[in-house]
Formats: sequence, structure tokens, C-alpha cells
Amino acid sequence: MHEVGIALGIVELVREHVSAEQAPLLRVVRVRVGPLSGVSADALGTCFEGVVAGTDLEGARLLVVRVPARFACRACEASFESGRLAVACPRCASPRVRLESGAELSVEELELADPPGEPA
Amino acid sequence: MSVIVVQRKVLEKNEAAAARNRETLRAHGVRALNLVSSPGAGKTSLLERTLEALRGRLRVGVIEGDVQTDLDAQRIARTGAPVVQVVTEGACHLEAKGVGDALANLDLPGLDLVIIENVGNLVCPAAYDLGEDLKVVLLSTPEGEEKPLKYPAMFRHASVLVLTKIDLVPHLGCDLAVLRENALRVNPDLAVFEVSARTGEGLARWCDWLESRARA
Repeated sequence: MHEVGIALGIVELVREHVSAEQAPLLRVVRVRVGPLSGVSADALGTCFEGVVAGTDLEGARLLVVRVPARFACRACEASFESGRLAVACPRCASPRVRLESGAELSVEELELADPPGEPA
Repeated sequence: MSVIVVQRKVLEKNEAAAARNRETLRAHGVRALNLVSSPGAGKTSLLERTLEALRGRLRVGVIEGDVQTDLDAQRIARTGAPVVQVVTEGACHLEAKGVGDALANLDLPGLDLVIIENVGNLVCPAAYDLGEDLKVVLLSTPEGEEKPLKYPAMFRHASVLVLTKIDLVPHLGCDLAVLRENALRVNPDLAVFEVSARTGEGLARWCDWLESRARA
């Protein structure tokens, strides 16, 4: 996957939420990534660092939270999660499972350090 | 330390553009397919044969996506079908905005179906909704039986699998039954077709299905 393009998209979103004054204080960008998103968490983190290097956002790092895919079994209605995409129902072993979610790729929160000189 | 809550999808702009495309197509009563595969699996060849077979049965427009050249659009143009070429100049996948611009250059009131031939790539197009009704994934017999297991996201996102180049099976070690089994393991809901653009085998069944889907 073109993680550099995705990292640039993340930076674009971040800039809509932090002011110029806040940008150098950004430390963590928390991102949710599902197994169906096609994104490599490690590659994304590395690309993000590369993309913000030399900018006012260079103090920031990605924190990738991997969320599992959620499935519903068509045979027995069981609901379950898995990190993999080719799965069978853990309750009845049917392969006829419906994928409910798994393509998450979202920016959840931003953590900023306190401005220098302000009380902690 | 302070926290700013964002909760926004990274690809939200693409999703919004895809929703607009979907609405545009729906308003004109036009169905749309997103054709994906590895480079060289035979998307354009299948499209050429399909367009010839559907002439007079269905009014089909094509959006061609390639990194460079309009060679594929030229091939499609020779079938007489209306076609718009989108050149991504490096992007490994089509995005909804580019497709939206292309839709504006097609005579939608005069079409029943738009087929979008995506850039050859089994990874990236999976993440980019273009506003289509269905994703159709092509897999050619030389690519090997394990392909669906290695690219589960794409095979999960697709509704239809077309196995291409089946005329080559006698020359390969490919077991079509194993290939099907692997694909259905990743996505039990896949509708599977087997075709050869060269010999025409399987084309009638594929075209009949396309026609019925477009008219549904």
C-alpha cells in the first residue's frame, strides 16, 4: 500500500485540528487501523515520521491501534472478532461468515504536550 | 498534556466523492462495476470481448485507469463503446474524484452500465470506493492457486471473481478447483466465472450475467 500517501492524508487531517501554535506541541497521533484497510501499521509509522521531518509537526509520532475485523456467523448468528480475514465461526465452525467491519483507517485523537512555561 | 478528539476517517474525502458518484449513477439508472486485478490478468481483453458480445444488448460506457498511456482506451474505443481514459501518472489506484470527472464526460442518460477498469494492482484499489455497485476481481490461471489467500482484502471486497486465461490450464500446473476453493475460503459469497478471452469459453455465461445485473 502507498503508506506515504496515507501519511500525507493524516497530516492534512491533523492540520485541520491544530493551530500553528499547537503544531510543534503535537506528540501523538492516535490512528485506528483494521485488517481490511490494506495499510501496514509499521510502514505507516515510518512514512509518517518521514513526512513530518523538517516541519513544525516533526515532534509527532503515530500510535497505531490495530482493531480486529468483526464477523457475524450466518449459520449460528454468533458475533466474533478476528485479526485475520479468512476465518470460520469459532462456535459452529461454519465458513459462512459475514464481515461486519475491518476496514478502519481513522485518526482518533491528538495528544499535545503542554506549552513551555505553563504549569503541568 | 492535552487531547484533541478527531475521529475522522483518513479517506473521508474519497468516501464523500464515491457517495456523489453513486448518487449520480443512481439518478441516471446506470449500474457500475469496478474491475480489479494484478497487472496483466486480462482486464482489457475481457472487456473488449464483453463489449463486442453485448453490442445491441446493453449500452456500456468504460472508464479506463492507467498509470501511463491511453493504450487501453484506444483498444476499447475500437469496439465502438464510449470510453474515457484516466491517467494517474504514478498513483497505483483510481480514486473517486478521478472517476467523478470521467463520469461527467460520459453520456450517462444513454448508458445502462459503466465499467471502470482500475489500475492493475491487487492491493491498493481495495481501499478506494469509486461509487461502484460491485467490485469484480480477475485472477488469471498463471498467477497461481494461492493468490486469494495472499490478497484477502481484495478478494473480500469483491463480489465477483472471474478466472481468466482458462485456455492455458493444460500448460500450467494450475488446479482450478483448488483456486476456487481458496477464493471461497476468503469470501464464501463470491460469484465465480471461468473465461478465456482467447477462445471465448465462458464468455456467454459471463455476459448473460452482466446483462441481467445491469437490468435488475
